[in-house]
Amino acid sequence: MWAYIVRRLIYLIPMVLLISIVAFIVIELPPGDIFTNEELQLRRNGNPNAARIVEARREIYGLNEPVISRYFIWMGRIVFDWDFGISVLSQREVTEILRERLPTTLLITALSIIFTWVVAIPIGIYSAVKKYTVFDYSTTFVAFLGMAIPNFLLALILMLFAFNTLGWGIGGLMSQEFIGQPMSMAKFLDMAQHLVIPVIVVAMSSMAGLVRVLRGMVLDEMGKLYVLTARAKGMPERVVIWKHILKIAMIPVISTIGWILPALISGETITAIVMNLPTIGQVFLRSLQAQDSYVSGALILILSTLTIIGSLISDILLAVVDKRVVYS
Amino acid sequence: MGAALSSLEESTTPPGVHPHLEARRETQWYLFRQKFRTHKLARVSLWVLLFLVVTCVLFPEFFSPYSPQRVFDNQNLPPSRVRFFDADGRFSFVPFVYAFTQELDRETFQRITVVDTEDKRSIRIFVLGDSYRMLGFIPGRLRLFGVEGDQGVFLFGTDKLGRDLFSRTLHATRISMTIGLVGVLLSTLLGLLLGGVSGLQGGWVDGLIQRAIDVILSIPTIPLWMALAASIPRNWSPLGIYFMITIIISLIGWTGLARTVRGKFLSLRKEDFVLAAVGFNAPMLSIITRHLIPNFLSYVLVSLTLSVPAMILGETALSFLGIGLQPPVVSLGVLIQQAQNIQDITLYPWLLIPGGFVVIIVLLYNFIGDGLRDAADPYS
Amino acid sequence: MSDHILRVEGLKTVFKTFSGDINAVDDVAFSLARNETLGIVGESGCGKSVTARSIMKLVEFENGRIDAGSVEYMPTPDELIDLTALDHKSAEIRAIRGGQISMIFQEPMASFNPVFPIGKQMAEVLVHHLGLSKLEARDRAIEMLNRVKIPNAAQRFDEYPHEFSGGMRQRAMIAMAISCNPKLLIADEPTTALDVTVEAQILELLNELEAEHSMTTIMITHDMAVIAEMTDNVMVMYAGRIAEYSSASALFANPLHPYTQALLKSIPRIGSKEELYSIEGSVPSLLDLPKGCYFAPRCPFAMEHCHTQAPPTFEPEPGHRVRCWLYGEPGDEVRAAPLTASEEVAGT
Repeated sequence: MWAYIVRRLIYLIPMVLLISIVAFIVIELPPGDIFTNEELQLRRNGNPNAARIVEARREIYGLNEPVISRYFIWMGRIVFDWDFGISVLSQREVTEILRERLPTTLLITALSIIFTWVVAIPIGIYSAVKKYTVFDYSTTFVAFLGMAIPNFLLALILMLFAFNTLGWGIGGLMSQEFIGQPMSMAKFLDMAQHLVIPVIVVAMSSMAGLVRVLRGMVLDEMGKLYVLTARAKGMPERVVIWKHILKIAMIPVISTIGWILPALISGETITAIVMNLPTIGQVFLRSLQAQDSYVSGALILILSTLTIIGSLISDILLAVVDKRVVYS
Repeated sequence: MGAALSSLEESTTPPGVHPHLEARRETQWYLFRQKFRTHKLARVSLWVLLFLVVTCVLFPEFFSPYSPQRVFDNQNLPPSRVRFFDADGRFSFVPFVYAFTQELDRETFQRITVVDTEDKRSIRIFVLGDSYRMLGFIPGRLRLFGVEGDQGVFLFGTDKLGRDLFSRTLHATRISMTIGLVGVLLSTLLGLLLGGVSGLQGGWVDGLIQRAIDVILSIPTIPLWMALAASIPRNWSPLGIYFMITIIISLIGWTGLARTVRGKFLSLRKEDFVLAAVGFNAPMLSIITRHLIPNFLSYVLVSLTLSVPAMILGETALSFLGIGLQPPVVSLGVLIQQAQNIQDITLYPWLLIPGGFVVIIVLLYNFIGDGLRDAADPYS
Repeated sequence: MSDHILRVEGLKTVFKTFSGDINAVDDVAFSLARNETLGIVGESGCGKSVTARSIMKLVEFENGRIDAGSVEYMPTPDELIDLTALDHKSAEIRAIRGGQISMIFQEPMASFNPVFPIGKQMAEVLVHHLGLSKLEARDRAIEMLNRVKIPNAAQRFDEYPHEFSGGMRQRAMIAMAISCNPKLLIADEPTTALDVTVEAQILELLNELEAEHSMTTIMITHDMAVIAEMTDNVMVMYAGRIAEYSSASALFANPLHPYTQALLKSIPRIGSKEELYSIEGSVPSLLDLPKGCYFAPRCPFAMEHCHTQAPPTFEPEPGHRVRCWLYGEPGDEVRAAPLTASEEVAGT
């Protein structure tokens, strides 16, 4: 068991390295660098020294070095100094931006996973047990719909509904009056309310997918011999379904956390932009548009690493649940 | 299974013909089509999809009343109400709209539309409208419908520049759907190629490709697309951007098919019937074409169909964010972008109608893909 | 009052499918005496498994229903329970399943839940039926594992199904089935999936346990050799109906039904150089059963009325019943599930 975990951990390292290379390539693709815009601005303002000022900056940051050296400098700073570079757009250290925005991203992602499981698992199981009933058909329909609606569209629609019908404040993480205030029950509830729509939106398509997968799994399992054995032993249906079948049906659920995570983070990115949430999403978009490379590079690296860690966790969980895996 | 059984029973043998000859008719393709037919939702979806293809992809110019670029004086108009009954309750066989003016409401300070019930404007079929080039080269002016008089008929309302949303939506659907198709073709080819090589060759080639897939799958899709899309120089031609976006979306999508194909190849290599064919000294090429390929052709078809929604959603998302397609190339995502903030949507909710089109198209492809998958599965 | 533990009369089980209703078991009737071992033999699909599952009321979970007939279970001579009257999810039937009537299945690997240790699955039954605590259940389960001769029982208790070999799994399955001291054990092709040597061990084990616990057994198989080894009486089934019923010795010495005769003829004999005998034609599809006797289309002795009228049960020799027009005329028929002398007296 431990050997398995250690093996997977060791596997992590080359993956992160590979991803860092890909991230670096993607960041380097657009022509120019982080100072290109600044140079443009200076020229527009008629500054005769534009070129020299920017050149000096470039020297300091080692941007004139060949590509490979730049990569190692970048990665070196991250690994050894925990220094992700600076953001020219906001004139801050990237590390600070991460510290500010990452927690909220993680919060929403974590809440989405929990929400997905809590809702999708019972629904998936019930629609299998009660197949071909109204419940089954309607949940299938909603599931299909959930997978079809682009998440930003869903966000817009829900915001519309919440704003007009429920009178909720939307956008951002909390209402105006609470910004900067110390945490209180009122503030907590307000934040919770603001989080409802983002979590639903982000969770929606993976929830829908999960319901379908679970339904299929449970239907498959219900015809299996061990279920018959359990019944022949006199076990009540409740035990048969929620103990025997559930554990097996959970296997694909657990093993897919690794893949749900990038989808969630992906969805979270775009939803945050639409809903003006203080997470990674908006910062990322802006940094791409302004070619604030250190920021974009760091974000891609972090997000992907989170995903890999997520898939590692899911592999470990899988090994705990399904002992057959460890022996293969 | 019922359909397959009954089709077997229905193939009666004419007297004198050996029963074995009759059985030959039940080819895989025949059974496949039969099973697809039993999936009602998939069948209906196929017809609806074909309808969309004809109206939006092939001949949107004909089916829309105006050119998508044409600007009217009336911005942000709600959808025109096409009526059959007039204010006095009389039925008119010919549908019509009332002429209208826009006034400022004294109390809410919003613009409201006031109809003039004395001024009826009939909807006409086969009118001559703005000129166009059908399919890019056939010039014409004939349009399916239009309205008499100087005001326009706006089935979906107008946008903030006063352009007919209905016409724009039809044309945008064409772009969105074709991007999906082209992207899917690309990623399918990639997937088949790399997956096939991976499965057949094995060894380090396989390992390399698998690691590459792992890496790609680990990077969250939308951020990756965003990064790639943002690196397209802004000064490229709209068509160039169109193609780059297509390539970008398809780059990510091939991994699923590659995995499946690889898995299929790996398992098929050991299958008894392949070993048997090898045992009979059948040439390798014929093994591939006659045994391996028919086996997973259906998988490819299913994967193709089910990937299109992902492509469309991807392009829509990128365009919505502003880093995908740009005007004048207008896709459904570009249209939705105009509906980005709460105030606009509250005041002009019809701006979200293009979003509805996206949902419907995605659903259609999902249902058809589902039907294909059920049809392809010999054991269900 | 009765030394029968089970009496089945006129059992008819139907499955609902897309193509229509399938009559898997048709007019099955038999009696089972205490401590008897009854064999049910027939080809795949003849309804032997379905009969067993109908008795246990498990068919309802698979789109099946008992359309007609009764299954009378007499746990003690003074009690009588009609199993067909119980709801398949009720607490009553669940108390009987596993506790009084147990069943073991053909595929030992598939019969256990792969993600739970074997011990846990065994303990489950004990806790449910005997109300033991977890520790008590564990001890008893290990005791049972020892009884079925699984080495290192205490260690095995915590292991998973895939860590057992096929034969050991089947032993564990047997252990689980008898752990609550059931009165009736139904073994549905328990050795079909095992090697011959392992099969012999399992059959031997079953014999021992039956004697030790005074268990009545129903042994379902398609293998005539197992019938010869294990059973007191035999029931031959074809296409959902009973073809013949007799003691095992009588069946081999004097098979009456043409189908039974054909079955016995088709067993290859070591050292014989004759061509292998196979019955002409094939088993009818359950969706399209012939009129009259189901075996008539393939029967070398078929007469006119065999194709139009289904034969009732005749008893040409005492204790040897057969459903074939060769052995009687209309009016000669007997009751398929005979009453015992004491039952007749009591007027049951």
